[in-house]
Amino acid sequence: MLEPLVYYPFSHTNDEGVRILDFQDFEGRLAESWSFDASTLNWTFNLRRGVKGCNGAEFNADDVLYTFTRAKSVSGSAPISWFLSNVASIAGFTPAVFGDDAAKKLGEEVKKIDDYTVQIKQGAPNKLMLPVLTIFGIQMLDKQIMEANATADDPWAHKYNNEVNAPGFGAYCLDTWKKSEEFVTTANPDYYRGKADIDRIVLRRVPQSSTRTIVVRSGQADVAELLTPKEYENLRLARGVNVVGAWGNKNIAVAMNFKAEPWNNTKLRQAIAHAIPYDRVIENAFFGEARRWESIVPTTYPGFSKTETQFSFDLDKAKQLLSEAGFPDGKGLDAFPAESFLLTYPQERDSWLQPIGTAIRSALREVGVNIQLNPIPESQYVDRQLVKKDLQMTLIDSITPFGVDAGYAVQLFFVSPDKGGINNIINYSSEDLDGIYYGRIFNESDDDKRNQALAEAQDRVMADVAWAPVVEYKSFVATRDTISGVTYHPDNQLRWFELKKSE
Amino acid sequence: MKSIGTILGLALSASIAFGASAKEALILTGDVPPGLD
Repeated sequence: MLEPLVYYPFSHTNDEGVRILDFQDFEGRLAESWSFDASTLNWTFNLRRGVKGCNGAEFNADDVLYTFTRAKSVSGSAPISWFLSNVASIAGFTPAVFGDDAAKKLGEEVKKIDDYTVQIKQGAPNKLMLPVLTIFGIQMLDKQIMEANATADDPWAHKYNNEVNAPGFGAYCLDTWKKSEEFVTTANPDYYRGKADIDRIVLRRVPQSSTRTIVVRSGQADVAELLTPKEYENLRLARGVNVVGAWGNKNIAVAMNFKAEPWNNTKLRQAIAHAIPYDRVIENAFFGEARRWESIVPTTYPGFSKTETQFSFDLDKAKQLLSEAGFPDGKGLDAFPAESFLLTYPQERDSWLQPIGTAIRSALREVGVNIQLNPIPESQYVDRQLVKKDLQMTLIDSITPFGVDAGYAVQLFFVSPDKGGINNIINYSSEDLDGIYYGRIFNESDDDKRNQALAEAQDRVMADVAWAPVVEYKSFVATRDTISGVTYHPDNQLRWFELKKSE
Repeated sequence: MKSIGTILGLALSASIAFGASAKEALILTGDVPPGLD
């Protein structure tokens, strides 16, 4: 299990007992300290000594070099580690790696100075270097174990990494991994921050959230994740169970596809945004445990700005915009295929997304726009959303930017797909936005100037209704009351090292 | 109830394998990471 070079330090415990991190600051993990030379764009990382992995190998500069060499090879099915290096402007990690074998070789941009010193060079100034290094996709691999499991067909051991083990220098060591079923792990006795409190942790997939709810309520499981708002609400009343949460990056938005008629009509999208019954969604689907989302990046992220453009629930305004769009009272929309009006979402989460979709459908009907709910299997949904990008209208509930920075979110979701917006699922393309991002955000090192440009970028996206943001909601988890130490992380995963269990 | 039985069986076998004094935790999730490498 993996460990980053740097991470976010503890900030405070919120009123629900969840430990919150300081996303504006960093502390050393596998790197003990670091320095940055703005004149050369070189980051020098001083690595921690005496860190041992699960087979006893000691962490050093060769593991860092191995991790970045592998990242630049773009040899896996999803080159996340290359993408993250690219987002941070690490020199040489450009799209050229996809065309040219020579460009896939790691050069001087990541350099071993000695066994415990590594230098990483950026190609241009970029604030995202440290935020990116916190993300799981670029955490440090144990070179010794990885190389022992490489094969002639798979020299970078992707198959091993995907199906057997992700060997690093973390708090737990994997004993067994049954694909899509369970992980069984044992605390690493040599972990550099001390052995974890819980000796052994089993993470098991139980597809039905109602079953997870029953089992944690019965005391036969210690933690249950990914329950519905209703299930969390019920568990709050259960003896011996704590439900705790924190505001993070969870949200709901309606997105309409710019490549599909009639949704390529800005006035129409604006009309939809005015016809979403925001407060009804908060009350009916979240039992009050949600709030209006007032931008298109998470409120908790550095660089967030409440946009000047806001869309209130205002059916008169929605009707007026519909007329201006050329569809008075919805007339003319029936000329488009029925598929245009399917609000698609993953059927696995139907029990809580359906009330949201139903509230939106009812309100849209009042202004003459008739949509249907379209739950489809998540595997299909993910393929259409992230790969084919052909969903016409979708309820987004699970796209969370792991990089804790408004600029990271803007690039990932809203920069044009051919200019780096790899998760731009609705094919939004704005010269204005691309210009603001690459001209005034991407390589801007002055915080004030960057934040001003980020505010403008958020307002541009909001006014264009690239997404119609609906609500933000807390990341919750249900635990037995013997469990403490729950900490909010931007990837919405628990770090087991932080959990404590009392008898 | 079959799936609960399976989970109980799993928790029990983990406990036997590791010894009574060890601290253990069972975490239930809906979505085990598929492997994204």
